[in-house]
Amino acid sequence: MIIYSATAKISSKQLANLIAHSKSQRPTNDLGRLTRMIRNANLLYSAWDDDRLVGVVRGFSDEATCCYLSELVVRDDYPQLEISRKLINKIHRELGSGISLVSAVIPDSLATDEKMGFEQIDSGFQLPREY
Amino acid sequence: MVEIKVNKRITVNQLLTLYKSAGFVEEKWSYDSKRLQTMLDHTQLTATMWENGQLIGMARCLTDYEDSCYLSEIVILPAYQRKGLGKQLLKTIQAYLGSRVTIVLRADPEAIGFYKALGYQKLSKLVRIRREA
Repeated sequence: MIIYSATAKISSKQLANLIAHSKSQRPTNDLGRLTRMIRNANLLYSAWDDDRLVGVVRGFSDEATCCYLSELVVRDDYPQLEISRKLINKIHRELGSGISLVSAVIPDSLATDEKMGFEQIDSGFQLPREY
Repeated sequence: MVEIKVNKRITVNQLLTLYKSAGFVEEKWSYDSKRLQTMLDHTQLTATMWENGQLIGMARCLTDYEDSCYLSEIVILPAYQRKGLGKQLLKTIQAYLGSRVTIVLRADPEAIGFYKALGYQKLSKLVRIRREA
């Protein structure tokens, strides 16, 4: 059974291992950077199969108006959509309806699923990182 | 002289004066000051612009300083618009974060050319769930 948590501690090695077994292209050789990404995200929800990390959503919130979800990773050999959906629903429920949720990493089938409540933003722009 | 500061403390009154004078995010004008204070306290990164102690512009960002940054708001007093100050605010944020951080934003239709000229690329997958109150 998959357990979802908003408070579980995640190590950089656990995150690196999850990324290596997912569709994410992120390099995982810099564990210090992964540690800072974990530490500096004030919103970090995780999915666990026993003590194996199988999903993560990472985001930044101002705790009053807006939250940005920057990363969603699910292990390849686990149900992608179900775990993604549950993580996002849990985040939205706990943030409450007074905080908007913005993201560029929501899988298409969830982004267009009416039950999820997402709307497309036509004027999104980005300056991509170099590494 | 206009000065730009990173993560300088802003009061709720200064913020509201800026919002109202610029006619920006009208929904937030009615928020109680505690909520706006919470927003300011937890915002990870701001670049603010000052002239003679007056707040004249602000870029407010949600970020981990390591990988991703969402530019949630950029607002400048009308009297100071079209003078290249928005570009300076954005460049300050970019320089502070460095090239390892992706910056994402929602562009006002009239600002799309501005962002394109600064190297920003269209992002087709951006979605949101709006806040209700």
